[in-house]
Amino acid sequence: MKNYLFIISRAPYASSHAFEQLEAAMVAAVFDASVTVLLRDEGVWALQPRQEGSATQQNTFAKALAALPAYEVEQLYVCRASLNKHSVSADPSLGFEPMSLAAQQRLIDSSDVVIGGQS
Amino acid sequence: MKYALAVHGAPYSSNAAEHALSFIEALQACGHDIERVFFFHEGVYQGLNGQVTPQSLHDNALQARWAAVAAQGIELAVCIASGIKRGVVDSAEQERYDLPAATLHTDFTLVGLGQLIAAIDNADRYVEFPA
Amino acid sequence: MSLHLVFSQNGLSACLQRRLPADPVLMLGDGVYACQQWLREQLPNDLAFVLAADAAARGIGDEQRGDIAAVDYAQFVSLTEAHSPIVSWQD
Repeated sequence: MKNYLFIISRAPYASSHAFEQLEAAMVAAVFDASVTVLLRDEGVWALQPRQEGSATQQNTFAKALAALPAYEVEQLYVCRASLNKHSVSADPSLGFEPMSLAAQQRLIDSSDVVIGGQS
Repeated sequence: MKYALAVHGAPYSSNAAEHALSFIEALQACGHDIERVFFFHEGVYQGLNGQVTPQSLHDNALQARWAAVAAQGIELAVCIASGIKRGVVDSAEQERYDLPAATLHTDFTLVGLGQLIAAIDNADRYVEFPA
Repeated sequence: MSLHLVFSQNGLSACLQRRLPADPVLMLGDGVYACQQWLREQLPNDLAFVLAADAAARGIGDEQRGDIAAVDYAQFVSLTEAHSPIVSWQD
């Protein structure tokens, strides 16, 4: 199997982009692919603490992220520059490791497949 | 080379179909194979039947161009998870959910997300066309 | 080596932060508007391409794109043959 990088670049509640992207990442993991998830730009809002999707009849995105290790998706990264830009204090329990832009360049370059998933 | 393609934009509201179709036509002219075209996110609306092309765009009837792709045996695969919640259903899903009509064009097929991964894994290249 | 497909001006900004310096970039859709940003930042013109049809539709001509090459779909295919992964940016 190839190694897959899924990039989430949109915030989770105003569009279904992030949720559908996560579904695809989980399916790839079920297929035993090596899966990495990178949150960048507005996608970093996915790590905002105290999300309560039920307030607007939506699923809580952080709960979906918390399920990733159960799918053996354990390479979880978040763009450090985007965290700083949006002043997001990531919920540490979600296990996303901050990553520099230089490391993201190498991550993309070393991936067989990059799924940006933007719509 | 084998290509897997993904389309993420809806017909006439984005460039995704125009980009994908012109790219497919060029791939074929170059002798490449297409493993599968996968319609994800809002791209699932490409498979909605009953589209009426605006008169001014008559030379670019998207569904006729997709039909030409399907006629060559290339699978036009609509993501079932993205599709059914947006009302793009085949007759099996219509029956399952007791819906008024099947809305998936006959040139397209509803498949699981696993078929996206399988296509990419079998292909040499993956190209996605966002909305 | 990666090929980057840029579909918007913000997409180019996101891409430029995360591409390796030798990776080529094809601007298409509204991404063709970003060719002036490419020129302003004095990036190597031989690594940038715009899709000719999309540039023509938007009135982006030689004056705007300078030495950046306009390519057709056959050349787009050639770029994808020569590079992997292919990364789309549409912010």
